[in-house]
Amino acid sequence: MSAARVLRTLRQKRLREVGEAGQARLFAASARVEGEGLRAELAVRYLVGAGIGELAAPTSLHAIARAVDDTVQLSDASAVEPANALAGVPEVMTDPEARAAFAGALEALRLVRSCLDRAP
Amino acid sequence: MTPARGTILLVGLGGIGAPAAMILARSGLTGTLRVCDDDVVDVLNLHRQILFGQADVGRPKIEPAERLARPGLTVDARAVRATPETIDELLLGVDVVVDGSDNFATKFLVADAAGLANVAAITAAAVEWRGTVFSATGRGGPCYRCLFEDVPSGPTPACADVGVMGPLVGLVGALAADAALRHLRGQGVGGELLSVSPAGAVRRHVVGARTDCALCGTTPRITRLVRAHYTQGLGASVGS
Repeated sequence: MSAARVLRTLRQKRLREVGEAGQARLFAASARVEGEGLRAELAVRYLVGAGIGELAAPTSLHAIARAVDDTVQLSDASAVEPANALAGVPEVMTDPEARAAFAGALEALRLVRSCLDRAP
Repeated sequence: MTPARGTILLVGLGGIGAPAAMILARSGLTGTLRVCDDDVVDVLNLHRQILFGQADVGRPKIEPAERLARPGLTVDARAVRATPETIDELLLGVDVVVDGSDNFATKFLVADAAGLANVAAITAAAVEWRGTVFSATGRGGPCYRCLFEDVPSGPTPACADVGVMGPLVGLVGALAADAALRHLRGQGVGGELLSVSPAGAVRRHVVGARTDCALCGTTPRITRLVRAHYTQGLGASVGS
């Protein structure tokens, strides 16, 4: 485990629902992000920020992951936008880029929550 | 989608400001994106402040923002902290301000200065697993003080103490950027309060103006910026 990864995730580990055990599970977790644009970029960026250990993502997004964590295990995934990519984005939002960004952060949030015993 | 046109000020390039800046730059916004932050990147920021990578640690936060400029969009990046002394100049020519600062004193300062200057203000905050985005149109109420009245006097939760979930902050940044763009497109709603749950669900309420509001009420007590109003509670954080 790199010291940088431990330091980077301290503010998240401090959440009582994460803690040592939740953060250890995130370090060991793997995720897959498909598609392109701001949605996929933000999903990758937040997942790597959260300390995820293995990530499958389109090659074009690997540099974003490496800029944050040069120890994350990367593999390729499809750059084709998945169906229902914008599910869960509230109707009140109108700007396409803002909606895409929301969807990407939501994708990362759901993966992080799935690694925790007791998400709030 | 009508291209948004105008000048947006983004206060703070933290967990909220970083995704908001990226969205605003890519939205087709024509005009100026002014950003202000006097901080440098810390490794502890990296999980949620997505404009930055390892190579930026120790560098000014405004540097990566300068690279967001596009044809038709000027980025005016200032290594300045929003204070009673600097806020009026920061707001010059601004159509809408997005506050992504990390403490209540700055949030009230920006909301008051915007209200006094008739500038629309989007106030965004996140800590732990929750966040809120409030919109004021800058043409009378409802305003941030109609909802929250004043700077809290006691201790409030700070990211450093209780932690913050990175992707949750991203949801708040996206909602704030969208609210600012809706305002520029003539679709902004004064008094709109969006709250984000720990699972990422968004609820919308529209808050009414209060006739006794200190800023936008019938007999306002705040008619200019007085430094003492924005020092109490400093260090009281609402996330970044």
